[in-house]
Amino acid sequence: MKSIIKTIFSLFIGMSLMSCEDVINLNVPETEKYLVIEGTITDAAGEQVIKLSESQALLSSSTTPRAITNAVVKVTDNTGKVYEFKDLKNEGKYVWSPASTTEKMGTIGKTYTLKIEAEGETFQAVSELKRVPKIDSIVYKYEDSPNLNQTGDDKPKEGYDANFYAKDFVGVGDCYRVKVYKNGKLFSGAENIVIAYDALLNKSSVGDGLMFILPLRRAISPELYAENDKLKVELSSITEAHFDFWTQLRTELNNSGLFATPAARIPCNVINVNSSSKKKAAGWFGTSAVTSFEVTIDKNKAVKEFND
Amino acid sequence: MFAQSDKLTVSGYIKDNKNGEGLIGASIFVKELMTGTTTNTYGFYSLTLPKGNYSLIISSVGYRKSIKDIKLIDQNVTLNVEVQEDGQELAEVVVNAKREDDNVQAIEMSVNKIDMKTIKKIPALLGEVDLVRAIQLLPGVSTVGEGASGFNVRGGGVDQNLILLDDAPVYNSSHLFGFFSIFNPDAVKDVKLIKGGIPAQYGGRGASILDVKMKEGNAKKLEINGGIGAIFSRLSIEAPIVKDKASFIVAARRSYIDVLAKPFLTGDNADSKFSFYDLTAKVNYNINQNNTVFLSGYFGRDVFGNDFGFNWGNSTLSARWNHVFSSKLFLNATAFYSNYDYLLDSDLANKRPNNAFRWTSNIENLSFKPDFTYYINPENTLTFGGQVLNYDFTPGSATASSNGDKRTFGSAPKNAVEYSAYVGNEMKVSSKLSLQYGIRFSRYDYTSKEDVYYERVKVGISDEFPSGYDINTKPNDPNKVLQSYQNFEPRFSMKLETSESSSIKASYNRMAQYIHLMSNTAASTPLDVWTSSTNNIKPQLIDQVALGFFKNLGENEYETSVEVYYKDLQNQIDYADRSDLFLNPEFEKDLMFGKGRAYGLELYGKKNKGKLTGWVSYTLARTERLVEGLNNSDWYPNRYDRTHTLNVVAQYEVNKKWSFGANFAYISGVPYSLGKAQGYYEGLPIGITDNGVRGNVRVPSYHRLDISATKKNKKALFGKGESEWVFSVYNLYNRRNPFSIYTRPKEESAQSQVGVVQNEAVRLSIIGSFIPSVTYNFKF
Repeated sequence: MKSIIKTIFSLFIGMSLMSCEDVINLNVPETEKYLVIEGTITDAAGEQVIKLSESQALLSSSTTPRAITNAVVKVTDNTGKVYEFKDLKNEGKYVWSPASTTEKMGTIGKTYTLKIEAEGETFQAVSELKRVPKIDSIVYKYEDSPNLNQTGDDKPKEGYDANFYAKDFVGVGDCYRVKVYKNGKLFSGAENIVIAYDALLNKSSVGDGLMFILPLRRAISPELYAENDKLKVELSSITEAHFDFWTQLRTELNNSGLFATPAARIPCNVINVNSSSKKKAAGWFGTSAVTSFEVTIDKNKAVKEFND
Repeated sequence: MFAQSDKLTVSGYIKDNKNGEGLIGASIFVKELMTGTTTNTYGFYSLTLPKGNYSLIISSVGYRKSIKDIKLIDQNVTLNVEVQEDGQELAEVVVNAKREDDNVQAIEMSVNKIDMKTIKKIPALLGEVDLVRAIQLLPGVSTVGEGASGFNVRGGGVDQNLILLDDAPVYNSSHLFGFFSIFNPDAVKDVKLIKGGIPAQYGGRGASILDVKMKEGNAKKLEINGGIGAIFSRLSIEAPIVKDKASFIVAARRSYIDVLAKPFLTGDNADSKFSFYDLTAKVNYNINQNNTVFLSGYFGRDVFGNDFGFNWGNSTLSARWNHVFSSKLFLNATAFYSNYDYLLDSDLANKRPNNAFRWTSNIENLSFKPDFTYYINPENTLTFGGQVLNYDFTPGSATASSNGDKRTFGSAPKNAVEYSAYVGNEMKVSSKLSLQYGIRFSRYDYTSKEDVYYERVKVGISDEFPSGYDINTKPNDPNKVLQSYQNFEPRFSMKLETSESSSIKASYNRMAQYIHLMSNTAASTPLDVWTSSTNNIKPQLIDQVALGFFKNLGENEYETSVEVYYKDLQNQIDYADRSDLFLNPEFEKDLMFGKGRAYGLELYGKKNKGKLTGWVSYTLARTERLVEGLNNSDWYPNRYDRTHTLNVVAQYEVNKKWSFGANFAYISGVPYSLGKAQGYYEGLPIGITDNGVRGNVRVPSYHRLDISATKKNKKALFGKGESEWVFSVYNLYNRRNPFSIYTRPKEESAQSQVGVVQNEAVRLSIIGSFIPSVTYNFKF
């Protein structure tokens, strides 16, 4: 909700040319090191990956944090089946490889427990793999000018604006993440974090069982698409706690201006089993069921108007 | 009652002879007895004296002294006096209706009055005369930063100020977030800020009372004021309805940024609306010597958006009756209505009713409030009265529709009634010592209209429960009071004259505050919700002690004061990490309660007379909180904590044509919080922070110089009236003053490409350049 005011505020401020942002040097002293976990188990066929790295000083100029190698990484499901993850290239990227190309690791309804033994400490995380609805359709129409969110120096000035349609399950508390790929490339910027609580944007809202609301449908067009672009939308189920994680990560990435909130902790579900140990973890171990829908932009299939 | 056969009373009104406005705080001095009194807010006075013949000297700064002889022999005397503005001496720049030695002689301390003529001479942002920005130049008053809504008094939050517009509370004092205040300078008569020693008649907020009185309207002749500035165009009309009996004022302002911006808006933004406006109106009717009625109203709104709309605003309506029961007993009875509301609508044009989102919120007041003043004798003035104040809260109600399916949700309406009664006495113990003492009793009954209510349960801080509390839902009877609170609020002030021109003053007050503004952002936003005290949220209780030394120099040419204060604040509210305060029925889960303390030293020196006038104010202060679970359960500075605040305001009158103004501010930076470390998650920088970090770093300090020049013309545009040009430059030396420091993803890396996004540190300046402006004002 705060983003709404921020947009309005920035519009005014931008127009008045009064405000300015200057990049500055902040020397933030390095504090203790955290183990950073990045990994989401899915129900898609193929490899599953869990990455381990070490935290850096805030605002560190290095984009390649130290990889945590030589760790023992295992995931166990609630039936006791164990999946072993191996750091094949010694780069902190632990991979589970299926025996066949069709073998899937994740199953909806199962609970997965991650166990990591790294550098003398043992960490653990638990996550349930939740259900996900299928995407009904992707619809697009031609626009001769981009909207506010699609405006940017490197972005197309005209093209196709797309919406996707999917319906939330009945039952409060389904959480989702929407990922968008253009010609196979994920929109991965800070502004591309799209998450849903039931069919709405926020947790305190009640949108159970609805078709995803308009702002979510539209979020698959961070820019206008060109003829023949391949547009793929992935809808992943996430746990409510993972939704909280993404909500706060997004807030922290966009926490600026008059209406900034104090820096807050981004939740983490990976815990050191030795609670008295000083070594803590950050990041998230997630489990997702994934559905996707892909279209190739074709002017003959474009609609004149969205049916909203 | 209290018949004193050997004594009689002289009473009446003191007014300005040019426009008939009652003079507030004018002095009536009895030459023979060396005693006297001052007029109240409505210009009324009453003096009970032994039988005899007297000379009354009526005086007030900026007005000619008037001497009236009265015979108080066989009956009470009514004496109404109209005094003439002292237009002869150019030196009298500051025209306000108070005693010259008020600073030293009045019992009140921690009180600042600035009259509109002074405010109008302060160089202003974009040339817009602004009451709230002007009071921020006073000692003990600060703000969280440029453009922030509201103001902070002596370490209190923005919601701890009771802002009264003709006795009706105003819930958001800003237009355009915090850039301009809602008060039209052409319609304001008097401004008084009470920071300490708050008399018993006021209650309901913890830190200060900003009492704004609107003009009554010229009762003698038609008067038109107006102006064209960078932001607003203004027009006000005041005139008698029945000469000397009834008059009115209507004042309107509208911004025209939208009109100017129109050519620069393209595409989706072409239809964008950006405007804010306000309308202030008042009528008064002086029925007879003993009865005057007033009706005043305010309506203002900020409107933003195009297809998507967002608007907010205040409206108030107050009706007052001044009645003189006898020459000793004065009544002001007020009934008021006040409302603050906002609306967000994703489909303002109603193009997509099946896929819309609509969200409203409001707080509404209805109140009746009789205030009596009983002038027992020159040594004792008794005030007593009460108030019934009804609150209707709609914290947030939203409707979302998707493909025609609708869902309604939000936080259910709440209702509360605040009852209060008070009695206070101002007592002259001796020629040197005066006391003001009183007590206020307040009671608050909270009712929830939901069929459930919420109870906080302690579960311990975790990622799932950042506040350490969960919520239990319990059945509620909407017809029963769910929670009541009551408090006695003692008030005390004393003044001891240490010489003809100096005094020591001390005060203590306890304030109970039953409503709270939910705001977890650096500056408060127009969306922030006022919420009731509930079974979970206890009323804030604020105790303040203050001590001061006041001295005037050079025949009252200079006023100086030194004050120190200490405040203890109970039941203060802070917010847990990841708090969700909007449309959330269980928002109380995200609150964290603790206590606060604030203390400071204020130095103030003011020059009242001569070609050069102005003031210097310096504040050294600290405001802190202690909340279990935040900042490792240790004291931390509030987000509006500022160590040093220095303001210099100067106005120089060269001749009748030209005058100049300047002000300089130096203010220490506010605290902010920064994370400890960072990692990468799916290519995005993920900040690593402890739970409940508060204010571990400070924003660099702020300083700024503004100047203005005013050129008065004898004639306005059409050869009539008078006019002036005001030229001003805000932030003269073009400093990029920091509002805040934060991290954000680097722009080049934030583009939609697979890879790693890096964070960078950014300093934000809300006003990052010097801003020149020109304003034209006219008066007929």
